[in-house]
This record gives sequence, structure tokens and C-alpha cells, in this order.
Amino acid sequence: MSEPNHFQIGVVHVTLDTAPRRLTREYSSLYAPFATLNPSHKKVRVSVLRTPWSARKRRRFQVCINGRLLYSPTHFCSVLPHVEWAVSWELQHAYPRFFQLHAATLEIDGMGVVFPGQSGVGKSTLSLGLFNRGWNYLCDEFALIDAETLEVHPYPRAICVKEPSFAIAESLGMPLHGGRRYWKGVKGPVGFVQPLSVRSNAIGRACPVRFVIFPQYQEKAEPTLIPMSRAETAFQLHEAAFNRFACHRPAHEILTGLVRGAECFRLITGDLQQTCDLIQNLVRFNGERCARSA
Amino acid sequence: MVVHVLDDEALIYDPRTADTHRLNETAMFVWKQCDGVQTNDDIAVRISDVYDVTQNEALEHVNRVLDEFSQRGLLEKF
Repeated sequence: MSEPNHFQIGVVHVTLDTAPRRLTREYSSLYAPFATLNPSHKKVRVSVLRTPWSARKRRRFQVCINGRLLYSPTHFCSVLPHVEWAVSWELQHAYPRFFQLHAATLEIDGMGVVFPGQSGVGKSTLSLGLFNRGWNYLCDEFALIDAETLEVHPYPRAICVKEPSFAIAESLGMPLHGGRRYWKGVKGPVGFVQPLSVRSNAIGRACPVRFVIFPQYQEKAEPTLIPMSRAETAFQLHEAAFNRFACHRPAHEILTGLVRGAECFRLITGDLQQTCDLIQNLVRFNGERCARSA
Repeated sequence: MVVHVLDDEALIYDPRTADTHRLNETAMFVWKQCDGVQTNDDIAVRISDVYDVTQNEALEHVNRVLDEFSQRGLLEKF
């Protein structure tokens, strides 16, 4: 029986056109819960080819998205992470209705929480910790903000865990999918956790953004929330935007609209459980305050 | 120039350069006083009325902020 090759991952449709059989098997296994028989016309088409044998050049894999070559990893263990990144990179072209931020996003009680930040600040680990406490997962790397409604939408790609967080994922009962490890360039070894294999109702719904929290990991630090002004938040989010010039609505309008409805903080993260306690208390307090004012 | 006022601060978008600028509370205060009529000294007096600073400190701050505005193309000189 052939592997499925159409996937609807939240609002994102992916079709795996041509790929080495092993990659098709691993990708299909990772995204099995999202397999669909009804491909959308508006989608991201992935093909992975191999360069021909040559006496002078090393053979490479070629990761192409919608016909364009994006990456050429040399080892198979780097291909899946590059496919993941390439699909995400293509979203700004394939889905211009979304403003795309470099941020992890989760949903709790209909409230969207956005954790923007560069690679290495602890977005994915924080996502694992909060997800483990029943928060609903939207994405570990990208906030897809609808440019009109300003709601954050789910793009529940597999959570990419870097080697230092492997043990944390295991301890939270979230083993790496298939026990496989990959190699993601400068990030080194990574593995993937499929949220739906942890909890069947893991994926959040589109919702308004109520909190923007910029995490920064500091070893052994006391977790601390520091309020940020909305103007500073909008300015920092502008820096974290992938398609600030490609979205059909100007970035400054989207961002100022977004922060007007949100509380904004800088977060020093340390111990994961203490950090999650702090964030949960913040969100719970806000929820109770909203209920009181309603 | 598109100015989004957010609480006491602002985000300014300059469509000519596609740059975005953030004004903090005091920079926003100075920005609001830039009407082409008031001098730097006038603005400094207003700042020292509102914030707990001397007129000299305020004037130093106003000059610095206006220089910054000017370098970023946010002001026209009359």
C-alpha cells in the first residue's frame, strides 16, 4: 500500500510529490494524523531529488518547494529538518493572508499566547512544558496571524526538539517520534515530537492573541515576567516578522492592532516547571479578571 | 508618516524608507510638541513641568531627541 502524500497541517496544505521512499515513509509516519485525500489547490508542494552520480561532486539531496530549489543537504539525516524548514519558509508566498512571526504559539481557554524569539531562546521547550499541562498546541516556530481578523491560526507541525531538550521531552512523556534523531545544520541533533501522538485533542483553534511573551533562557535564573510597553512589543515583533513586506496588509497596522488586545512581557526562563507555573498564574489571573468584568 | 499611538508611546512607520520607529514616553511627549512654532527651550520648559527634571536636563534631553528625530528623517526644519 502506498504512503499518503497529501497532508492538511492546520491551515497549511502540504503535498509530498517526489521523494526517496525512506523520506516519504518517515514524513508520512510523522504527519499520519494529518493525512487527507482531498488536496487543496492552494498548497505547498515538496519534492526531494538526488543529484546524479559524479566522480567530481558529492551527491546531494535537493529540497524543492513549488518547483524552486531551496536546500541541498548532503546527508539523509538532514533532509527531513530541511523539508520542515522549507515548507515553513514557503508559507509567506503560499499564504499571503497570514502575517508570519518567528514565534511559538499556544492556545488556552480561547486565548492565544505568542512566544516570539530567535532560535535558541527556549520556545520549543516552553511549548512542550505548557502543552504537557493541557495547553493546546498551535505551532512551535511560527505564529500565523490572519491579517484581517488578527487571530492566530494553528500550524501544528511536529515540535522540533534540540538535543539539550531530549531528556526534558522524555521526562514529560513525549518521546521523539520513532526514536529518530536528525541533524539540522548549526542546531545540531534534533528530533520531532508529534503532539497528536501525546494527546488526541492537542491542537488549538484559531483565537485572538491575548499575551505576547518574549522568552529568554538563563540557566539557573529565577523565572521572572517583566512588563513591556505595547509600542516596544510591536517594534520587537516587527523585527521577528518573516513577511513584513509580503503580507497584503502593512505590518505596522497588523502589529499595532495585535498588541492593542494583548498584555506584553519579557520572560526570563529558568527551571521549566517554575516558568510554566509563572505563565499559568498570569493567564489564570487574566482569565478570572475577564470573567469578573464580564 | 503613519503614527500609531499605543498607550503613552508610539510606533511610527515611514513609507518613504519602510522603516519603523518606536517612540518611548518622553520622545512621544517631545514629538507632540513639534508644531513648528515652539522652540527647543519652550519644549524643555513643558517637559520640566511634567517630569521631575530641571530645565537644563530637559533641554539636554530635548536636543538629543530632536537630533535623533532629524537623523531618522522624522522632522522637517522650518
